[in-house]
Amino acid sequence: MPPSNAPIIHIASFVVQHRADALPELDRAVAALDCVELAAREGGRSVLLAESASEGALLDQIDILRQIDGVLAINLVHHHAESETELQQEIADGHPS
Amino acid sequence: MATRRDFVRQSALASAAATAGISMPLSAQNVLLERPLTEMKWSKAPCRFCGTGCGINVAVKHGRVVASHGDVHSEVNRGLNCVKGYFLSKIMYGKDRLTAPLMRKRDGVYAKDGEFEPVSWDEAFDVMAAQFKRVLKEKGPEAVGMFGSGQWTVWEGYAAAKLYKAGFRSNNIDPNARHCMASAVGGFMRTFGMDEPMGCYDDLEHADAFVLWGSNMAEMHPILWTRLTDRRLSHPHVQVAVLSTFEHRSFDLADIPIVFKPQTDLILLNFIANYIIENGKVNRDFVDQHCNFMRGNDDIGYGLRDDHPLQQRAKNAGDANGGEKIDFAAFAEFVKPYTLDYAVEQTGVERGWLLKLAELYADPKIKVTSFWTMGFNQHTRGVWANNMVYNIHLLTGKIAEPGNSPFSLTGQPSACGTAREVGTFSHRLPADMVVTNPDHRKMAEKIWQIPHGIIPEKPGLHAVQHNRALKDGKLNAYWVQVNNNVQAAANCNEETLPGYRNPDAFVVVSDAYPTVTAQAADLILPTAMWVEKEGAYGNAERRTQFWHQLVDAPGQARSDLWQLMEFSRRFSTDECWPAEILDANPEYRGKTLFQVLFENGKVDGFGLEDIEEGYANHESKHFGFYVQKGLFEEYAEFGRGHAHDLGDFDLYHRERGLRWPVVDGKETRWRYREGTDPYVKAGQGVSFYGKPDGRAVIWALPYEPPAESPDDEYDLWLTTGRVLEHWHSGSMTMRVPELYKAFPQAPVFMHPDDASARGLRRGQEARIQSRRGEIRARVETRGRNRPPRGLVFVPWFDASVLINKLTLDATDPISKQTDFKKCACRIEAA
Repeated sequence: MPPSNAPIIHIASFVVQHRADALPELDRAVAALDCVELAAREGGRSVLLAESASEGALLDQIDILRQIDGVLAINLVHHHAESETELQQEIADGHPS
Repeated sequence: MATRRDFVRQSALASAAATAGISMPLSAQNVLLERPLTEMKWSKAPCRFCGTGCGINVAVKHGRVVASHGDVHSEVNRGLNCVKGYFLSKIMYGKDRLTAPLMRKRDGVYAKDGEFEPVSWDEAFDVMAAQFKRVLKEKGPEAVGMFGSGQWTVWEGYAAAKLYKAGFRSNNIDPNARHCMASAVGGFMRTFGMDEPMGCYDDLEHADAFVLWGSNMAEMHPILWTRLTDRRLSHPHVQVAVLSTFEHRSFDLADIPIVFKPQTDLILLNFIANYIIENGKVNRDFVDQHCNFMRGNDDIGYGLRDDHPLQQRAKNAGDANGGEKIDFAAFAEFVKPYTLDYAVEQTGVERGWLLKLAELYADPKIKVTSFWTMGFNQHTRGVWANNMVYNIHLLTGKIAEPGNSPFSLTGQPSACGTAREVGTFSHRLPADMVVTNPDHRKMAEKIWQIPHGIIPEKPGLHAVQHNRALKDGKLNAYWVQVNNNVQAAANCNEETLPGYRNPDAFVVVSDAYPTVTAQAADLILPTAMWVEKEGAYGNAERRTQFWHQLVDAPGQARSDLWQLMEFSRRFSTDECWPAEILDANPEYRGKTLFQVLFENGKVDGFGLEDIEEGYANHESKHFGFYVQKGLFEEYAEFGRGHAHDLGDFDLYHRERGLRWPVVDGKETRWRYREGTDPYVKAGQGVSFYGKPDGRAVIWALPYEPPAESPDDEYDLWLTTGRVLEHWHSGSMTMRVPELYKAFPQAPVFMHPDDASARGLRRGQEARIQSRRGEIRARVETRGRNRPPRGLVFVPWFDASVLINKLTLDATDPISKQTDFKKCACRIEAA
């Protein structure tokens, strides 16, 4: 982790496995949550992208989704934690060199 | 111009999409074709939480872990990572991390009743060595002991076992896998003569049916559960049966949901065997060629203290593991009383579900994988339950081929790799060998290059006996590494705590955090964890995985391996080995244990130049040789050529793990089957070569009741277990504030009618009492765990809700594993 006094931003992606009948409820819940957004979906799988300065809030929101009937599993793929200042730095070239 | 945040978001998104098999818009892909310049260094490591063995990529920046993601190249998890993995990078950075040795002192010197004060490593080891030497001199090696873990790395467990069995000449070393896997080990050894599953996780993609016997995979093994869910959803013919004593999250996917009365799993298992026989579904060719039959001794007691009335009444308490040879007809006769009617009556399960379950096994066209964890293993008849599930796979020949697989899952990351394979149990040596066998001892002494007669033949004290012997003043110098046994062991009020605080005992605890166990010790040693050291773990499918040291441990924290080896320098052979052995082998006189155990030409056989460039290695730098490689190569000698073959050390740093036996650089996915196992000779088809005649054993074993059941006074079943957010005793995960918030205090899950019958409502504090103690917890009548009437469930992660004050230290008499799932309690408003 970066030095402890800097505010830390958490960025994480999750894969959700769900039954088709869970979609309306899942989408309603995601729309109501401020840390989590739907990034992609195919069949019974959705990719969520989450970002928050409060890791507790982020995880609570994931836990809310996990309780929805028909949501079979939510798994983490990527987790990054760094200070806001570092994350605001511009990078020379985000594209292939 | 993009920011670093954009890059991180895109990385997170793209890796999730790739893992889910979802295509991404081109705009999202571009940024990932090549990472921008960054100071982050990514390396592979296995997750350090459960026995699944997921591969993780870990990013380090400025000496700290800043990011992690599931490794897409790992066959186990294919890029996914469960919610526990979210905290991998944080477990090392808890605010109360221990960074210096702490010793109880009064007036400047060690005192059992003193207060903890920081001390140097020298002072810590001086006092510790003096205590161990005093005990060795006064009472001999049977009064020193060690309690280790399935979270030790392979070389840590190996070095610990060697130090105790060969150095101190004490077999009183046991891992906390005793609480977790001992019944599985006993089951494997009795049925197959060889430990660990014959199949592998690939079975998940081949099975037509899955049966979960006392395993809440959805919460405890989420990644394997995800693979199972994928299989179920993408192949509509696949069926999932979930069996438990209460409903939990895995029931969401159950086609066959079964909630049975505690302990009656034994009846279910014999009912299925009987059903298979009565319906003519036995695979007679397979059974005739590959199986023997035994009737196991019954009435074997409950592994309680010898003076307990239940022990004294038991006919075969002295020979729990025995039995007599029988034949198929006798076995069929034995299981005949386990009819459908009897099973329905005894288990409380509806007839239709039982028939569906039995048919999964009986139908030769259905490939069945059975999974189990603590429901079977933490059971006073846990070895039997393991034997009995093998019975039904063997009767039908549904074994050792893709999809047909009885599969024992593990709880800890290296319960298999370290606790079991390395031989850290009190009766074991590496590669399934045992101290009671003179040939095994001789082989170990030869590989270890120590004189014959050093390894004691008597099995040492097992985990439960450790606490009893501490309390009784028979075990006096005791070292605990990588576990939290004061919280984890049953009946802690009457056995564990009095043992640790016995004035006749000196207790050392190595840990990264001040757990309740550390706080009950006399000396606390600060430990390096996970990627603060180079490590190796072995998962539940025989996969051995390596990782490099990626960051430095904080302060003076040192790895368990460093501690073990450094401590060995303070002892000489003259202090630890008998004079007659030294007289006959004078070249060993005057040497330190470090010299004879680790500076033996093998363990110190590889130089620092062999360490991969770009990685630190604090132990090797300290000792001047590549410690991990030397220990691994010496250890691997035990298994090579004996069906436990490990590959070369360097291979594992390149691969995402390999499943043993690794022969000619190739791993083995299904053992005992010609074509997939190099140890099965051409023409044999199947060979259970762990047994001398190549035949597995089908065991005739009855139902026997648990040690304690509800009665008028204590009217409820109490069962314990884990929840997803917290792993085991919570000593790591409870340090992560967010996790703590998600599940701050262990509740008591109970049926709403049971609650209202006692005047309790949800959220109210209740007193839970057993014959051994009392705790308080809040009532939970909703949520993920839904007990039937008459049973309550309390997770055990929470040191403030010490449920093991209530549990009974009844064990399986064969495996010595405690039954944490069944005792009697009562509940009233606080």
